[in-house]
Amino acid sequence: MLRELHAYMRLTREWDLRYEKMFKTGALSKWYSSVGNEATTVACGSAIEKGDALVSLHRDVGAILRHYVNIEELFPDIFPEKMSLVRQPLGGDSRDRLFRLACQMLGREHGFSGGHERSYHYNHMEPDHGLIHLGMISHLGSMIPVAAGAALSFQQQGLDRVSINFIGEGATSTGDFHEGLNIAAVWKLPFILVIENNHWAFSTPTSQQYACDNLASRALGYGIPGVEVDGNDPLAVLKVMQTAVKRARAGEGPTLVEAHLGRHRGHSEGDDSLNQVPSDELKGYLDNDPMDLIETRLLSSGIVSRAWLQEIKERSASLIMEVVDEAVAMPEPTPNTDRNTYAN
Amino acid sequence: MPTESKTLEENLLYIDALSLALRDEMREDPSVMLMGQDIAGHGGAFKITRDFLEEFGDRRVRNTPIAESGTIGIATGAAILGQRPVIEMQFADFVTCGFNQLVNVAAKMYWRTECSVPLVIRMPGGGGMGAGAFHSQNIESWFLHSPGLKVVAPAFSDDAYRLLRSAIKDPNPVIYFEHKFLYRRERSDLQEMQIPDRIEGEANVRREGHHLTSVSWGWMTHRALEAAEVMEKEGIEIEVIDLPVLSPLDLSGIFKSIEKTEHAAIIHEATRTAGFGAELAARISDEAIWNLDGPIRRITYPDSPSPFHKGLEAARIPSVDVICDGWREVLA
Repeated sequence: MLRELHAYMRLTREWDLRYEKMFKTGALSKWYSSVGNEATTVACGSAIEKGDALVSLHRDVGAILRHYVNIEELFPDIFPEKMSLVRQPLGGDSRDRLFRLACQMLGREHGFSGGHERSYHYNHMEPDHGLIHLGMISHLGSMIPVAAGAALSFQQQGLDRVSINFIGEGATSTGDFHEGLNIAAVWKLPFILVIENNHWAFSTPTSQQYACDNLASRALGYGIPGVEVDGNDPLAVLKVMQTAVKRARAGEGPTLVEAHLGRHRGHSEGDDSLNQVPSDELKGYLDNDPMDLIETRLLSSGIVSRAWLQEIKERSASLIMEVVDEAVAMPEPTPNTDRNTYAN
Repeated sequence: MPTESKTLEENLLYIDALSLALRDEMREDPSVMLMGQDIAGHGGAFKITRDFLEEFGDRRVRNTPIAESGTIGIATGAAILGQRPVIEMQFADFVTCGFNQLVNVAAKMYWRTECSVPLVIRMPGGGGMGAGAFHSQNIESWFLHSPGLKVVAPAFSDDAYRLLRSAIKDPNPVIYFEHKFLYRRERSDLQEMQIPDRIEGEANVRREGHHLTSVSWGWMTHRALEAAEVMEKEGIEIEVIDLPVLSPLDLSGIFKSIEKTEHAAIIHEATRTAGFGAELAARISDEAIWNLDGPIRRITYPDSPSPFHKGLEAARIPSVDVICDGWREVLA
């Protein structure tokens, strides 16, 4: 199980490292890195299944990759035996999804929004494979009610599906956090809200964001469970999420999860917001890199060798390099104003 | 031989047309669900959903907490995944608390993602009842400036019925303005009709005339019809065009009418600056100015909030006299 989580975390890390490099060379105008969020996002993506709704933000590519991609299909020689212990893959073409995701990041015509929307601001639906993914708008917190609405649709249809949504700790200050979570609680919607608390919203520390000790305790005010978890520990996050998902599927309503993790990067690459994080605090985050932690754990428990870790790292990096290069070579959208504003 | 259409309801009250449309859509399509404040057991502030809870149950008729943004957001998410939510804003004015969900999430969803949002927001709006600054506004312009929303503002019971049903069937978010002053005053017969499954632009000639084209919607169309009676006595024939659908906009009927009348005026109950009358005047100017023999006149509410005292309010709403004076000036 740990090896499975690790493989997706590694793929996620290499994805970010590739785009961070492209940003530095000027090939990308903007990048929001999810380095440091992988343990939480991959674990959350591991807790959902076919037909569930994933509603993500800009640091959640770990959950997206976990949901979209079957690692056994990508690396059949490394994973010859069946490895999907935690959850079943969706089916469908993993590599093509990865390629289209790369196109989406680069605004190419073949991306999910045909170049009309930036990075993770897209929806991707594959009804045949039970893939329901709603992306973000730039207003943080706004997707909370929308994600709860996906849960409402499941409830209306009598389905035992769930909807999960990520937000940062900054968005807990919005009105939509309160309104969305409150309605979800009153209606017992199958909804899980995951706060990725990296303790800094752009340049604002938690001391200037909220006055309570932790955010999970806010759940008490909504009459739902609230759980704090170490967001650098994928097994701990997975356990919390599996409990929340089970509860939601049983019709018992939403759960609020607060995953504590570290701020490893600026708000976006190229801004200097990381300078606001005191150096000892930053060091604490970097010393607790979830990637290092899981690899140490895998090595110390003798599950894999250092050479294996190196191999999966290289293979992930080269696959992503290949896919991104293919995306770069794809045509840019032809300038036009044809896109429909209204559904016909 | 022309076929006689069957009359379904005689003298149907505007407010009853709304109830009937909701009920008929809910009976026809199990994915239609209602959300709003006090709409379930209480039947809504105006009793439009009275007895709906009993017929359709608490899953499909949901009271919401006082949370306009949360409600619109949740309805949007549910709509993307196959439900057809109809939200009752208790008063149109309150939609401001859900503005972001409406203009940034729901309105832009299809363009951004090609996921359709079949959502209706019912907006009891308009003045005339001395209800003050937060229960009287006419706020259609805010939404007309947001691509992705359709905007409806019927003046007559039969249009109200048909357009509400079409709005629910339409795959886009529709802002449905229903005028509170008309709720228990306007009556018309409801004929058997086809219900289109899309909201399309319409401009309906409600009175023919050859001296001036007057364009209006909602309550103001009734005022225009009254004023046209007054003008008739002076030998002036006003063509009254009602716009029950403001977006998408069908201007062809207005242009055609102006070819005949060579004069145009727009009446709206909304405040003046950047009101929809300005847009209509600009479009008429762009496309039909060579057919005009006079200025395009806007007859509107002044740029002021709505006062509580009925007399103070009445001084601001375009009256029959004010409308007639406006028309006379264009024709002078």
